[in-house]
Amino acid sequence: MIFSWVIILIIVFVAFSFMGKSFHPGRSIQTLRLHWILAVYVAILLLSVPVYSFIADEHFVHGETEMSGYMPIEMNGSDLQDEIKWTRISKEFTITQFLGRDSFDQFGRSMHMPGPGIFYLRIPADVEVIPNESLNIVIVDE
Amino acid sequence: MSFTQTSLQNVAKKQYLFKLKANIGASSALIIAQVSAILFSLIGGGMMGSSSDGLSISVSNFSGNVIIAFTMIWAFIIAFTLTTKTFRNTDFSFVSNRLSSQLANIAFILTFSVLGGISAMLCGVLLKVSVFFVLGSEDVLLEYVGLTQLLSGILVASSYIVLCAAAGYFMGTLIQLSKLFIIIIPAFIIGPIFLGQNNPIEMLFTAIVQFFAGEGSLLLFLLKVLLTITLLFISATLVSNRIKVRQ
Repeated sequence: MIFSWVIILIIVFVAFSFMGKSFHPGRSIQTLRLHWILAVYVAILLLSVPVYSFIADEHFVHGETEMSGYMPIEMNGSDLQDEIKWTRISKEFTITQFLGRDSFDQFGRSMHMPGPGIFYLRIPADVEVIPNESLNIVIVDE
Repeated sequence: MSFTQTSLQNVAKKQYLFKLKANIGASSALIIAQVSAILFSLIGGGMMGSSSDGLSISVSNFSGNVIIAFTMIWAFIIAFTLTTKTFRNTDFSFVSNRLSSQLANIAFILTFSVLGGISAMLCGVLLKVSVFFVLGSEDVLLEYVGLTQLLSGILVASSYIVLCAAAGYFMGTLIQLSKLFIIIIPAFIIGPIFLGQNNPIEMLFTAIVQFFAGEGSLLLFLLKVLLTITLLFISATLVSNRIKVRQ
């Protein structure tokens, strides 16, 4: 959230700092402002591509999706008090539509029956993982 | 009588260029829509969670779907406003006919839809970068979108946006023909909410959405979109021929 506000502030600041310097007779200042705002906006959008590419090279999830369905994960030793939070950045429906996955979830099925997805879970080395037939667990690295 | 010879193509081209310059303000509306969509998306959508024996798991899903949806709404409104009296009257500044005006409008809608599609997909990339920096890299799962996927995403997003714009343009033209459609169209769209589940109108909407969104082949999808927008634009042109001059 903070980052988006910073971006908005940068857009506004750059646009307003340039518009005073670049006035030419015959062009309305409103059009000029809009041109600068547009230019800055396009520049930010274009800049995000190489940044994303750099991040993705380092952090993107390898392999195909292997976990399906919505299921609670039980761990041996119920006294374990912990909270695990994941953030999944998914592809847009325009891309997933042609990858054999559901595009629009018209009936809110994602609330109860999400499509196949892979979850990477970091667990302490001393926690014993008990295999469950409804859960496909692959240990990536020990 | 004028000795200047002009062609339909030249007149339509002049009108198209004029419309591009005159409606540059539409791009500011696009920026506002997309920046708002990024802010909405940053809240996080599709959250799900589970707790069992003291262990709670929560998953937040982020994607640029809201941005594309906002851009589709923007395209619908822009195309709709092109049919209003104020915008139609600007066409009288040119020596033109209805066909040239329609061609210019269609070219304008296609241009802005493609620009909307490109910017919407790039906004999706910006959102992913923002989420990554805001939430940190430790608990973020990032699905890689390569250049090919990004380009196909732009193509498909533009198709969806042009579809919405064509629908907006057709509806706007219908309303210009008869003000009765101001009541009929919203009633047709909002009505199914009050009719309960599995009513014929809702089933029709579901079938229309499935017709496009359920298509797994990119070529077939593009063909479907092309046929639909051609049909909508031809219908809009035929309907506009029935509207009186300066009605």
